[in-house]
Amino acid sequence: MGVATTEQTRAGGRYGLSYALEALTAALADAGLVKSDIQGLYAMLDQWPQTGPSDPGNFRHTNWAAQLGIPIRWYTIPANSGFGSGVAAILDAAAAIGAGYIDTAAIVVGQSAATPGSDRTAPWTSAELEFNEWTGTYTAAQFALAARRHMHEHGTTIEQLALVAATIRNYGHLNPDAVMHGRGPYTVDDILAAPIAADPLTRLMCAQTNNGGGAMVLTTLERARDLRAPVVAVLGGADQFSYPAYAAPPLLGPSGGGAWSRQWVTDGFAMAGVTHDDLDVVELYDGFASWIVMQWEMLGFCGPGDGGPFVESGVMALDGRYPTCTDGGCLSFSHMGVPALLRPIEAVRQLRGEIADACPDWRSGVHTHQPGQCRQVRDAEVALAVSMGPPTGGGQFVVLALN
Amino acid sequence: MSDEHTASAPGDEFWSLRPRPRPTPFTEPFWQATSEGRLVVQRCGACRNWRWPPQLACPECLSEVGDWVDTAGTGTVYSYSVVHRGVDRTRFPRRYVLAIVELDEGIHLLTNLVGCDPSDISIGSRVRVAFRHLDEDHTVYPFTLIDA
Repeated sequence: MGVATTEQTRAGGRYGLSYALEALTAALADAGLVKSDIQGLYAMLDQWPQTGPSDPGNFRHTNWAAQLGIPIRWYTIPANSGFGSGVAAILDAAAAIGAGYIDTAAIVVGQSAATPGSDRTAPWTSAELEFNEWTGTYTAAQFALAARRHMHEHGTTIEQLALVAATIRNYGHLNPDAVMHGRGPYTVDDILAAPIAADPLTRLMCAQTNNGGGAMVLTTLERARDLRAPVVAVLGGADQFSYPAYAAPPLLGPSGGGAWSRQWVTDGFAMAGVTHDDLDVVELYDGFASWIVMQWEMLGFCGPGDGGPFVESGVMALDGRYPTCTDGGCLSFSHMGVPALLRPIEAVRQLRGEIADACPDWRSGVHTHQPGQCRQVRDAEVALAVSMGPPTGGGQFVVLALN
Repeated sequence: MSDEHTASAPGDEFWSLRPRPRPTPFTEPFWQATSEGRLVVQRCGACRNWRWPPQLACPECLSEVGDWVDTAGTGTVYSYSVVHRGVDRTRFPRRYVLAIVELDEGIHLLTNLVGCDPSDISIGSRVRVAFRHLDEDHTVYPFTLIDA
């Protein structure tokens, strides 16, 4: 496996394809592979440069074959969270490689849609639908509706949501690659004192959108063992979708994070052969702090409705049981507007012990493991990463482990 | 527009600026009804299940037989949010109340709450539809509190 991220930034001026190619080149180098090794491709851009934003060229395998100068032998259409470029793509690539259709796959993402200075988060989720558009609904407001209902049903507090945001943003404060590097540290009161976006959510509980790229290259275990990078294996995972997000209202169900069965989570952990207790680091999708509370419940880390007390117990911090969103997450590292590759890439870096932070000798891989200085989880061997888009319910998770 | 005014009834203004619904032939009966002051929802002709948003077939029994049936236009607040940083300041008031209303028929609508002080809104508050005209041809369906 090889991974890479480009600069993540609020600035414009580059094509998404430019970020994607830079990331792909770096991920291939990280793995010790070359582009002609790639057989399967999973790609998401905000646009293909010469065709414009409404043309499907960015999702067209023929365009990619021509641009990369290689034949493409496995290309599943963009679907699921991250338009097929996130954990869904990892699961599909692992399935295709495991079944023998292909030997090596690349997942690439490049986004340049963030408007410098814009207040808006992922404007493309403001569904231009006849029953929605007149209401002024948009991403943060839909998450706010789910958050308030969760507070009502389960007693979740605004301070618990603020603690989520502060914890994640404080990782980003330490990450030299984060868009929000050095902006902290934040207290719960700092998060609460920020202006309201859509109540009860303050702006510091919501991610902005950024420009940048990321890539991951996957191959067979046998081949990976001959490559330079430490071997990280895909142990298993699962995928479930339940409702058309943003078109239908976000409703909480019995689990607190969506109305549908959690059997998919049980099945995915069983497939991976691990339990929650085996996990050392967890990369959730923190587009909004309230969604993290619900993901703990959805993924079975705590009981339905118990996400608030669970986060309040401090599990997400470096010295907590499940260090979470350890690069600063969507809130502080970067958010491309979709749950794309950044969460699993951080999981891989944690497992390899390749974290950049404020430790004096991090460049030599030496970490103090002191909260407030360090982001590297001690002896991380098993990680969970997710792509979870909708405000309630649905997404994918994958379990990754040092092999 | 003073802060005092927007704080008392945020969002119940500037309706003519809002984006117009663009009905399809499939959804035209819904918008015809709103223009007549009726709130209608699809109901399965086979199993009588109410469904929203509109769908070609019933998710319970997959029957494509369905009717647009009048609702009572009343319900309760499932959740709400006072939006401070809205999606488009050229088309929406500075602040407005986005809400999910659970109709008495059991389905949930994304809507706005208007004509009320946000501090009077609670989850579970009783509401009724309060149609607003964007122009002669377009009528939308925010809700307002039923006075206790």
